[in-house]
Amino acid sequence: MMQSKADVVVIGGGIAGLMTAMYLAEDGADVLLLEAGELGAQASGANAGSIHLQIQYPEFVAYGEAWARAYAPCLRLLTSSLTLWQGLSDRVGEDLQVKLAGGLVVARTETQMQAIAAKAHIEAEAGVETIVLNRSDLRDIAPYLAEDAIGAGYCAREGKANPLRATPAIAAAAERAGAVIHRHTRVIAIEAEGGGYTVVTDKGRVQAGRVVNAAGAAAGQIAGMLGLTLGIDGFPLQVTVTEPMAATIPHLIYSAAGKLSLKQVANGGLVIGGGWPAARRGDGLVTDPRSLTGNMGMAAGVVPSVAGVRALRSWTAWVNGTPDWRPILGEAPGLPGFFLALFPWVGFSAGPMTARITADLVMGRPPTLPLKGISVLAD
Amino acid sequence: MTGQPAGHFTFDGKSVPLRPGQSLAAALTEAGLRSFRQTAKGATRGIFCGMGVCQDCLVTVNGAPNRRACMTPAVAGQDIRTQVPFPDLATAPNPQPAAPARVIAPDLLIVGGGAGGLSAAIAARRAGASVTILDERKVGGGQYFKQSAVSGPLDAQQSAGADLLAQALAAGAELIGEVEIWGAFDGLLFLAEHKGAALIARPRAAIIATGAYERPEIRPGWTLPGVMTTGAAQTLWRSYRTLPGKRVALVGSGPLNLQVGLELAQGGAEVVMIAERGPAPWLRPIAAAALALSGPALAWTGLRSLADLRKRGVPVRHGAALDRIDAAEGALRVTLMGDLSPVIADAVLMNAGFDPQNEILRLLGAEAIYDPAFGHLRITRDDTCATTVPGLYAVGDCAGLGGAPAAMAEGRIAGRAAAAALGFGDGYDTFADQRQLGRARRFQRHLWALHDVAPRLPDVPDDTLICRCEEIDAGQIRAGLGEKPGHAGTLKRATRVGMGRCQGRYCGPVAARLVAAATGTPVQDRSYFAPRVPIKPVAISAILAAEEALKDAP
Ligand SMILES: Cc1cc2nc3c(=O)[nH]c(=O)nc-3n(C[C@H](O)[C@H](O)[C@H](O)COP(=O)(O)OP(=O)(O)OC[C@H]3O[C@@H](n4cnc5c(N)ncnc54)[C@H](O)[C@@H]3O)c2cc1C
Ligand SMILES: Cc1cc2nc3c(=O)[nH]c(=O)nc-3n(C[C@H](O)[C@H](O)[C@H](O)COP(=O)(O)OP(=O)(O)OC[C@H]3O[C@@H](n4cnc5c(N)ncnc54)[C@H](O)[C@@H]3O)c2cc1C
Ligand code: FES
Repeated sequence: MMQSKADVVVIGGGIAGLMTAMYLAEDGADVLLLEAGELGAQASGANAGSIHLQIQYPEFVAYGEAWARAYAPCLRLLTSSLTLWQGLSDRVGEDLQVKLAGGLVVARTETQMQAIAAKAHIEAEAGVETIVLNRSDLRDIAPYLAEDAIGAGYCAREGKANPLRATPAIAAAAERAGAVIHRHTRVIAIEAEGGGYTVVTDKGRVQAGRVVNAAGAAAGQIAGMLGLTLGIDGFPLQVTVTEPMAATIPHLIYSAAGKLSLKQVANGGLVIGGGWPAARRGDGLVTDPRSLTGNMGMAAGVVPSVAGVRALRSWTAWVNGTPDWRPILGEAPGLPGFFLALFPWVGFSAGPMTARITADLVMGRPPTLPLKGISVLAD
Repeated sequence: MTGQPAGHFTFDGKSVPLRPGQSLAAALTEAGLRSFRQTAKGATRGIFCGMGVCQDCLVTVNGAPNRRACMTPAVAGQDIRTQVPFPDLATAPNPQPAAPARVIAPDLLIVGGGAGGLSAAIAARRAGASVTILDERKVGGGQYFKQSAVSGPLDAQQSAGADLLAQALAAGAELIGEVEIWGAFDGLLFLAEHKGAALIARPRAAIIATGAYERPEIRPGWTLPGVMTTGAAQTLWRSYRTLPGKRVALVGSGPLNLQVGLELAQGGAEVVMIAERGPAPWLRPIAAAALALSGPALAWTGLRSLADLRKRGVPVRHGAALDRIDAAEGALRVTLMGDLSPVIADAVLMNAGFDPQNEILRLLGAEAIYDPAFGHLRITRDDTCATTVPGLYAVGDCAGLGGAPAAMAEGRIAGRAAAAALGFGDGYDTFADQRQLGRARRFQRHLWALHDVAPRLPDVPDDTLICRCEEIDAGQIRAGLGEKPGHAGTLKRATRVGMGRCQGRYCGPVAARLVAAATGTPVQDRSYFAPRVPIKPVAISAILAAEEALKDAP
């Protein structure tokens, strides 16, 4: 039987929800987390494990400088999230394989180099240093790159972490701190009443003074239960991993030619993704063959030796996306006590700080980082 | 054993003789070399499945890492090396496609040229449909008709298979061997690698006939070099005239162990023991009689094997199960449950039933239901063998165990039905085939009732590996189960079980059973790891080779 009351109900057992529950429980709140399925089984467990900081190059080129300037304040949140990532293994008592050895946007044309420089300029204004490396500097730090790479944008603080380890370890830490987690408990309705909320699930009803919507790609549906429309949606993505190879690539690799993220993970495999769409079948997702060939081509273009490596497995998941890439963080307008913890597209990187800020707001404290210019709710 | 060496290759610098047609695994085994690769945790591994499934027989071939020795022909002058767990990325060769991508669009594509696939091809081709068969192996025939790759006399099974192959080709079916299908996608798109080039198939309909692979005995020592499946040894002997070892022991359950035990004894091996989990047939007279009545000829073959084995003095121990295998005295020590007198063997062969190779079917979304008697999924089919996916048929063991005669009857039915659905040939009376199929299925039921292939939970010590590839042991799995996974996929994420090269072919069914037992839920279709692209590891260069051809396709 499910408990019928809690101070705070958190909806969603991904990195945002679990870590929010952890912080809240550590702050002494009585927290109940509801997860429809398994913990970390959606985006937070299926992502590519990149810890991003710099503005994504393909979007910079596609949406232009004005968009980048509007998005740039979010880099402050990502920067502080990276700091939390660096201490996270110690905090949760497990090696999350966090390695921040820097990210490289690899260019093959002068036009791309110019775009990288323009992007670096905007990033610098937001306090993020991206160094524009010339060909020989690039070869010095990344000799495994293609001969025709003429330079790169190098953001030294980026890197990777292991998503398979992160969510279970965070969930365990949240439970140790006193949070109660109910899996296989789907929220089907929310009723606002008497200054609080009744969260209706397929396993029973819970009353809560405050509710956190951390339902990722499904956050729009949760908000809709209270009549709130959110500009967030789910987009199908796929990622591929290769057989293990000797440790060669310390960096997070992007390409200026198109969508790519490539990294070598702790067990030696190369994880290759970067936002390639998966195909839909019924309610589910399957690997899209054209995305697969396109993604592998992008990878081999930048690191030629990957062509000789075997792909072992691809997988698919829904990512939470907003059109302008900005997060939806804070108390929902007109719904006191209903909080939104939604960082799109790179929500794994941003997860720790998204959770920290949400916990602050739920506890009625000013957020660790002012949200002005970052959250669309704080414009 | 037969034939003269046709040259030599080197293994870690040592010269190894080879005979024409031999696989690397066969030549190495013949030379007494059993350890082919090192694992990340420092163990050694060798040939296990002998059919390209387990991915454990990896070697470095002329500098190219991670080649399957069981699927790679031995060639004079090759430089073969023990495979290290983490090959150098910098030296990974950047293979250029051997030829431009080939796109085929037959009326009917048949995946698997074994008993079922060949029969389907003959039927569909005779009805007028154009047919292409793709098979992973160099020679068609499949597991029952196991064709010889070296020269020498054929046995009766091989001659029957050669005949079926000849009929398929004479009917005008094209058979392309050495095709590694790595992806199957909606709209019936198949992507494959063929001798270093891309092969893309866009048929109007497809029949999957990929057969089965063997279920091992998951016991301590089952990953040691020298321990292999019974079918692996059968392939070594029947395809390459190579004995798996001088002294062999067979463990598990089922008719294959008896048959292969006899074949190896006839071939000159010393069969030191056959341990069969099931009770002796003379202790189960009613079941044995039912078997004899349902298929007199086949039952007779089985009983004759037993008698032959006895005549040769091969100890067949019924009601005996493997406890553990240990490395000892340069060989393997095999201990049975409750037994104080272990035997020593050079090779231990295991077969505890079969699991269907249904990855392509499940990848395409075909529905299946769990068959608790056999402990595996059966693909849902109508009486023409059509699956729940339009245009997709499944025949033979890949749809659920049925044996070669049933696979052939199903092949004939599906071949005609698929052709008719495409407008070739019309109303076809399948009465005779349906009756044969009924008989074959009855025989199978009675046959397996005499053996003991009930799916088991691995009742093994914590340090026994469950996942060969990722080296995940029972203790780690038990810890993962302690976290109350609701699904095998959750256990996979928690422990990495099934994340390796073989894609969970061996540990996946075990994980499904463990999670079901731990959660008190029945095993069902969705209890298994979801199949993923690529269904077999594929070089990224081979994926890229398909890119251009895919772009042009509709
Ligand atoms: C393939 C892929 C690769 C990615 N790669 C990266 C990367 O490399 N780096 C990076 O930073 N980001 C990456 N992302 C994005 C990142 O994973 C997500 O932005 C982030 O994990 C979102 O976390 P979340 O906790 O908000 O949502 P989720 O992890 O999706 O969690 C939401 C949870 O809410 C639950 N839920 C939904 N509806 C209900 C309901 N009605 N009742 C109860 N529970 C419900 C869901 O089951 C789910 O568990 C990737 C995403 C994908 C899909
Ligand atoms: C190892 C083994 C040994 C056996 N030995 C015997 C025996 O001695 N006596 C007996 O009565 N029965 C034996 N059986 C059972 C018997 O082989 C089958 O019942 C019968 O062959 C079923 O026919 P099929 O057409 O379904 O499959 P098969 O005859 O096995 O044919 C399947 C074919 O598909 C090909 N294939 C599989 N996957 C792919 C892929 N992804 N891409 C391309 N091609 C693929 C295979 O190479 C094979 O040629 C054995 C089974 C196995 C697995
Ligand atoms: S023995 Fe070669 S893949 Fe199994």
